Amino acid sequence: MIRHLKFIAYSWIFLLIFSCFAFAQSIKIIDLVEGGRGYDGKEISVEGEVIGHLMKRGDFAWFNIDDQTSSIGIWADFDLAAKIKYLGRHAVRGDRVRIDGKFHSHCPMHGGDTDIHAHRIVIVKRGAPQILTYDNKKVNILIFLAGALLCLYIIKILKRQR
Amino acid sequence: MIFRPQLKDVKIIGFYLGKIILGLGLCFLLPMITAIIFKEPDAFLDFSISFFFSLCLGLGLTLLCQLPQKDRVLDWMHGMVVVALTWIVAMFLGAIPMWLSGHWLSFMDACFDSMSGFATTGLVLAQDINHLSYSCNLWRHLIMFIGGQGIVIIALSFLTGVAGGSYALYMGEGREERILPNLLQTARFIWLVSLVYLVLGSSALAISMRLSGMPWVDSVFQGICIFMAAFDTGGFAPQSQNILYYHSFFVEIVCMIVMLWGAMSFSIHYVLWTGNKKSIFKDIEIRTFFISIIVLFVIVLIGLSYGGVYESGNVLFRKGFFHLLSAHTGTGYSTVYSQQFNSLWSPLSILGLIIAMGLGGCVGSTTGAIKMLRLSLVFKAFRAEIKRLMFSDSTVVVEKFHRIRQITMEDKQIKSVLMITLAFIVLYIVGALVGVFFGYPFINSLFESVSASANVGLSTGITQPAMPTLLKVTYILQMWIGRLEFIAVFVLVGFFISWLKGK
Repeated sequence: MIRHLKFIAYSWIFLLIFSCFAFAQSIKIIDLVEGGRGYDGKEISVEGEVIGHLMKRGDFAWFNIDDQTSSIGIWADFDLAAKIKYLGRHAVRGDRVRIDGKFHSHCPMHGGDTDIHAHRIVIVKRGAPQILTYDNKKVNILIFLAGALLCLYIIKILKRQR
Repeated sequence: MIFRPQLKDVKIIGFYLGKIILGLGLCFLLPMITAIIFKEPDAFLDFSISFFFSLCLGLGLTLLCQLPQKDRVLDWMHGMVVVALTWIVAMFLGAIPMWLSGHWLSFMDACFDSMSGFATTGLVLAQDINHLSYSCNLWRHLIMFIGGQGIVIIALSFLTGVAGGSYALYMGEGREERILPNLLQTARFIWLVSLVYLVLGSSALAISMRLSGMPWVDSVFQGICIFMAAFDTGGFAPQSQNILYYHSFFVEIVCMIVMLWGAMSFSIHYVLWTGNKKSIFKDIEIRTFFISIIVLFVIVLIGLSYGGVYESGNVLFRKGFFHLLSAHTGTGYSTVYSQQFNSLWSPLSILGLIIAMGLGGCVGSTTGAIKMLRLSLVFKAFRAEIKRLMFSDSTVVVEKFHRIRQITMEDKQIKSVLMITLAFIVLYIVGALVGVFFGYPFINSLFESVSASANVGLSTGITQPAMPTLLKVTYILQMWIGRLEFIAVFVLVGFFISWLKGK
């Protein structure tokens, strides 16, 4: 009897862990885009960098995430989205987030847009501003070209004087 | 007997090409200023290198090809060759800062996007657009504005010393109508109209973006970018998701108005500004354009309804009408992913878009493709021919049409219209066959080929950095030939043939 109970308990724990693991498995955005109808209306999990802007619309907000395969719009409660600090753009690496929510390949609520209505947003890795530098090789090329232009201009003046 | 061009011909072409390159080089100043404002040192270096390189090339060419003032007479052939070469040189120069930015995998990819920008196509090979600098984004959209108005139109507006041949320069860029008697005045009118609309359209877009929740600075910046690409029927956008990024009905509505406005002929804009506004409703091209939009929208609508994807009227309008207008005006803006044309849209609705792309907007606008005036004249000619067959031999059939004023249709006009129409159809098919050769499905290859040749920019997913190099070259050529509407390219080919075979 105890053996049976142990087996049921272990099986239950195994299934619980496995199902949690399965839920945490992120889907690539490109798979959602290409196989959209198969995922339509299903609960999914995606991971990517928040890019661009947090666009507040009443109590909700739009933002977009990019996982390097594609980008997708996320519709979320503004309070839920407010935890996002860094939005990816030039010289800024945006927060990496995991979104759990319902996928719509053509959302009737949002004019047929492909989107995810988020239930949960988890910050996987905080973004950060990047230090902008310049390439010294480019500076050398620039100096060379400026010198060449000056020479050509002098030739032009000399030709005109002749 | 074919005469070989003389050194003097080459010098004339080189001299004017050099002048135009100098003008083009000055355009790099705008992204340079933007790079300073937004504190982008690396981008500033990229644009400075491009600026100095262009000035060196332009000045070098004018010095190398210097001729006495009296010998600088530009004839028809020179003008056409200058235009055709200008667009190739512009592609290379425009690609330099893009390639240096590191967002394009190769110089070929940067050239592809540069030609796509200048030719107002909108096909994209750039990587990670979402992290692109403000200055590089401005450059991508600015080249659409420059290319839409016409690179040579800029030169005509500012170069006052063009001796003869300026009409060839004007026509070489696919324009036929003189809006004002003087070409310089026409060029300046085009710029005046464009700049006034730039202020109005950008403001409308900036307000709609601000209402969508974006900060003011980015609303204004992206409003300007989107306007430049929409009015010039280009199709680039500052974010990788194109117009879908904004998730805003307001932004889509303003884009639709700007796209439609950009697809109208500058002659129509002139009449709107100065003349009898009622005569616009009699205009054969405007009538054909609206009939075509309605008919093709019905086809797209039936296709989408049959596919059963979009159920509500609101969604059908936002997706169906937006993309139809985007295709018909040659803009290429999109609120769906390119892959979704294959997975969500039915073949009938795709066909509707292909026809819309292939037909294009109005003559004398920034759109590409066959264009509405040519389509209406083909129908008129067809009707006249049937009338001729029906009536006796002694009957003289005279067809007239209203285009700003009442015009009698002539055989010479029909011949030219049919030639360009046929040339476009051949270009669409050749591009599609190249796509099929590389293993893509015919319908997708045709879609992409028409999109490139008609300078639209919608894609079914073929256009991506991993596509074969030969296909990239094919699309570059299609964009170039389609934008210049064949004549200048034919003259350039003739120029090289006479160089090789002439005596």
